[in-house]
Amino acid sequence: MDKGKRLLSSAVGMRDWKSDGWFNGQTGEIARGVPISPGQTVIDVGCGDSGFIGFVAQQGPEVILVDQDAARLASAEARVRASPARACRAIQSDCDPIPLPDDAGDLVICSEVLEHVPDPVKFLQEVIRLARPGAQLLISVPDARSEQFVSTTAPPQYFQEPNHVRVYTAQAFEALIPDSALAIGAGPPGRPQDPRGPEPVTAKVANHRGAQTRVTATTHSSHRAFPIRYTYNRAILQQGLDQE
Amino acid sequence: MSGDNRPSAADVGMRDRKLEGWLNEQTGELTRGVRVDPGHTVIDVGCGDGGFSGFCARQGAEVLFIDRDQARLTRTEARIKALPARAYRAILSDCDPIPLEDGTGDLMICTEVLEHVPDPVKFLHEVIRVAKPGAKLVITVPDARSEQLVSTTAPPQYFEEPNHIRVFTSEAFDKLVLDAGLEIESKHFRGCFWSMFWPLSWMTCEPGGGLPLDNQHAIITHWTQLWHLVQDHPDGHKIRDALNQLLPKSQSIVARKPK
Repeated sequence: MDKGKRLLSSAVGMRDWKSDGWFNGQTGEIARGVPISPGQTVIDVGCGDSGFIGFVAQQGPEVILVDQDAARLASAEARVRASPARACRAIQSDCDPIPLPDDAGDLVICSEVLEHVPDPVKFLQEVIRLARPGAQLLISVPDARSEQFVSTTAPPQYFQEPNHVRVYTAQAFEALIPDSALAIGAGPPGRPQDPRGPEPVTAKVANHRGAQTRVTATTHSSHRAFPIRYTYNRAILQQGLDQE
Repeated sequence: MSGDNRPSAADVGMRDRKLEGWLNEQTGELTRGVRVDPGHTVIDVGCGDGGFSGFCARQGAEVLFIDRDQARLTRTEARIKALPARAYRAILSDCDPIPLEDGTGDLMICTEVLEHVPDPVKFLHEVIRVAKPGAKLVITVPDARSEQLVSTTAPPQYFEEPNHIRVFTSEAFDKLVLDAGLEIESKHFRGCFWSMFWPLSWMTCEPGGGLPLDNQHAIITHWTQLWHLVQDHPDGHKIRDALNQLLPKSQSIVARKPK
């Protein structure tokens, strides 16, 4: 460490992301098993103005941005337009419904959004509707344990509209996804699965760095009874809590 | 505290322990709800270096301290000798059985021992046998979460004889105590400073040494200093309380032997 050179928390966090297999510039994977290619259409629901957009756009796909906040959306759009993304659309919407046809995306991202919305089951149904059969969904919410920890010092507004109105335990998060007409299956990243497939299994990957539970879901063949593969990434506290 | 004003890990850990309600010299409580009286006979089973025996000796109790390690027992005895215990006895024993009569102790201490023993059910049964009916027992074992974290950097010997050969989940610990016929009065989780300290210290220490308590690696001195600063902050206890629930070093049960 250089004396006098201060580390930015964002730089430290990004190093962890990359070390955990996210934002892999070599393979074009936004997360392990979730590659982005120029031929794809990527929809980011609740994109905000930071998050994943920069990496997604850099891989050259068509990018469809959806957010209810006009200012954030405009800022995100400007970033995508200045990138190698082959096309860009920005849609201001409260996502009830999302003004896009069924099966519009090869990859649908919904990152750190479901904790803000009044009806997450309905919201997630809209998100899933946009994913074409075989598409991947990348969904994340804050983990309940870090939310509990932050609640000891954060102001009450942290847990009020328009911030985090809902906290998901891992179990509740898992339950949310089958509730949205998805079934849970297992398989190695990126490998198609037999929809009649084996018993649902959870693929768990210990992660000692991230701060959120993240799920990647690979959808297959129909919007009913999708087998999905998901990967749990567990944070330092979460790993400590893991009793297995 | 050292001369350059950097707190040692032992100092920082001890401050936390007292803030968490242990070793309260004002009230004479060993831990919350467990007062040590001069009239008590306290039996410390697996006393190690005798920190808890020493506290009980300062309260004037009779203290019987037992360990299988002669060197530690001798160190503890030297320590107790200088304190105002009403009486004391050092007992060298592997506790199979404990060479004491049934119903001897008013207060039993068995801290960070059960994770070392081959048969914890049998061991606890012996501890309970030498307790008087109605006596309190203070029993602690490492928490499974910090054991899991430390396993990422500690050498394999950490989980081998004579070290930690068993890890207790919270549920398994409760069950062990309840199945032994004890009543649980309270259960606590504590020591989160150490939950980070030990994995970091194993990661940065010279291999082949003993327990790396005096590690002076920058990561260790920074973590110790950081935690010290957090505890200096008026809201620092909130972080400590929450982290003690998420990643405790140790779980403790105060139990009672039925009358």
